[in-house]
Amino acid sequence: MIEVKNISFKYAGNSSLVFDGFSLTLEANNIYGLLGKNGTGKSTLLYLIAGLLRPKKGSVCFDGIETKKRRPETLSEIFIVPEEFDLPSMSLRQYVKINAPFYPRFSHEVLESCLQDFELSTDVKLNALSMGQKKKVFMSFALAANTKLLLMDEPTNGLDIPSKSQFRKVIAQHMTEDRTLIISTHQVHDVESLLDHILILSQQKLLLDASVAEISEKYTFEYRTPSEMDDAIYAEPSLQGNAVIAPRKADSAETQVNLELLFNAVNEGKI
Amino acid sequence: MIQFNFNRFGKLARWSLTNDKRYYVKSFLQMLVIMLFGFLFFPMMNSNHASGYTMSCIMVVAAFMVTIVLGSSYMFYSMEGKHDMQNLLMVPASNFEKYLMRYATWILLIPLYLVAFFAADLLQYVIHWMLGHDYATLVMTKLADMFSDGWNNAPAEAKRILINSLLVVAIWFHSIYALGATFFRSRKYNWVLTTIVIILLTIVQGWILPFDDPTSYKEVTTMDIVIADVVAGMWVVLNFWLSYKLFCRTQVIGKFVNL
Repeated sequence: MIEVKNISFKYAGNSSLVFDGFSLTLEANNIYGLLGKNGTGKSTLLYLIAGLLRPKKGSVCFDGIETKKRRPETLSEIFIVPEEFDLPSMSLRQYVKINAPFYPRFSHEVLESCLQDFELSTDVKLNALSMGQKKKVFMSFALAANTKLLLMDEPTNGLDIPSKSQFRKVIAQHMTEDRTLIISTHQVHDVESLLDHILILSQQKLLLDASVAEISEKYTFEYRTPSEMDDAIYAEPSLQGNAVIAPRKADSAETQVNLELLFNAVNEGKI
Repeated sequence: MIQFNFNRFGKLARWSLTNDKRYYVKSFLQMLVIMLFGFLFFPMMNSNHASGYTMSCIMVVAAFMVTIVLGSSYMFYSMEGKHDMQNLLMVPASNFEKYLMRYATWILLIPLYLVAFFAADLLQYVIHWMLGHDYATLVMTKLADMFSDGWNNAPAEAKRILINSLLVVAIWFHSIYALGATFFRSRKYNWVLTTIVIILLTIVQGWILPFDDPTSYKEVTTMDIVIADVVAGMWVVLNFWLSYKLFCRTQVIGKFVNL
């Protein structure tokens, strides 16, 4: 579905490359979590996939078409919710009226349902909303657009605590089978339960590209006492004891992936 | 590959006009205020009120000439920062449709400026009349007189050459400003940067090919005009093509120029 092939990219006026010979393949019907430290190129990768940036070398293709060409048939299947954005000074109704016709599968029912879940009405003035509310409206529109590919950059930034669980509910409810969602985030706890696949980026390379199923099958995530640390691959002290990643024994039950622990272990080269 | 679809272009036009509504209203009001101020100021401050009205006419002609010549540099005036560009680039329409719609900004401004001119003229007439100024007249009648006098007094051959030259030069500059609008990333001041480049290139051209004494219009043959028009026409097409290609390459993040 998305093929990032051998791309090199650097920002104008910057001598260092953000990506150099970077490749990645993303399949449909998955929720990808794109993780990485600051400045590793998570947002840049989303912009490259959306066609808002152009690689210096290599190509980014969506369903076989290069996204940098920004063809209408490609754009009607891609929606990006950037970390920061502006909504025009108009009512939501008017916004929907001028934007929805571009998306052939736009669903007014999904929009209303998402807004309801976010405790917002359709009768709102976009310039009268707070940043968090604007984000909820924009994410609702993004889900209602029903594009094959949805890109979200730090979607939970600026959302209050109840809104974060509303966000998870809304995403889980409206992610249909033919859609792919890529969430780039630092707030791993906010999206942990949603993800099917984890991508961890480091400077110019992919440190981890594995499905949650594969990770759960291979590793166990648990809290242990100091005397139980013999097979631990990675451990961090915590209030509940040591948070540990260890190889999963064939007969033991799968555990929930601790994304923060996994991220730290991968960044330290333990996995 | 250039993609164009009337139905999609219609949707894009509605999208653009709705988003830019405030910009058009603001531009209309600005022009109305500037013209009204000029129409009141020049005749009142000039002891010869008739020449004050002539200055008003010159102001109107200059305003329209500037809009026509520099109009192509207004392409991205209505957009504020990176986020508006991001919204535009992500709209599911083709690059060509988007370019065309952005280019049309100045064309949409012309009728608004015309309405502003007529409204300002009527308002100045009413205000002068209310102030008891017996010299009150309409700028549009003065403008019509000015044009008809100029037209009737010029030799026929000179008129033909003058109109041709004016049109060619205006269209050529217009295309250069279109190129500047997509080359420079500055949305508001690309016309300043383009003007600086034009001045610098003119200086360089003056060094390389010094300009001879101007030829009298009587020596200009029809063939000279045709050749000049063809060369200028090809250059204009090239400028617009480059401008469009640069727009296709526009990225949402970048430094001073789109390359």
